Amino acid sequence: MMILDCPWCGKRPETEFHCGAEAAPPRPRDPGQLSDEAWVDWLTNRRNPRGPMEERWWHQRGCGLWFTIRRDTATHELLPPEDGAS
Amino acid sequence: MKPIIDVIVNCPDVGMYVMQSDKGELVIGGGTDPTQSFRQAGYFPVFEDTVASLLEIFPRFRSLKMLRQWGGAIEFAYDASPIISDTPIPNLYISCGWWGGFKAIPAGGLTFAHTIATGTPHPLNESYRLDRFRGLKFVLEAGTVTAR
Repeated sequence: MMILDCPWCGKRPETEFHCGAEAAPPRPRDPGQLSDEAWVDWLTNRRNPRGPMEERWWHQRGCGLWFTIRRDTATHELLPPEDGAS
Repeated sequence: MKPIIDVIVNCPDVGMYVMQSDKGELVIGGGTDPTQSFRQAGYFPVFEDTVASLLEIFPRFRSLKMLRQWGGAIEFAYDASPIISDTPIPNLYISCGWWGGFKAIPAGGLTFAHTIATGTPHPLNESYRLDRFRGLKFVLEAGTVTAR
């Protein structure tokens, strides 16, 4: 059981949360200007690393906030955010 | 345990299935970790969720004792359906994404063998090719247990 640190509520058990997915690069501003290949790449391809990964979580059964955490996918250990991450 | 279920009960709404083995044991399966994971171990929140779902449907199973559990890595594609396909690399074929409720390995073997032997997909796995993602032609397979 992971204890996630919600920026609003503080440390809460992971069963209160819903994992969005691996944090993707920012959504392209105008997908119509992209090639099909680049758009599909953004939609479907993720890094899926074994090790540290940033992902989006939703405090579904709490305050409703979305936030980003950094987690080791091999151990489920929560890691401090890298510089610049929020 | 004496025979009590002679079918596979598969309940996608709660992400749980149960069947009875020839020895009498119940085989119970559940969902995946709620996150991408390479930990390859059992995970209590998923275990608890699965057992809660089982007892919701079959309250009498409350009195059973657990014999053993399994946890491991499973892989799945973006649309949660298998990939049975040729690849951009000549003579490299892949059959993967066999997870969840897609219990169709006999057909998977036959169509994969056909693909390798003839170089073209069998009519049954044409829509399961790797390049389906390029055209966003996802295969949403209704029997998938845990696509929820």
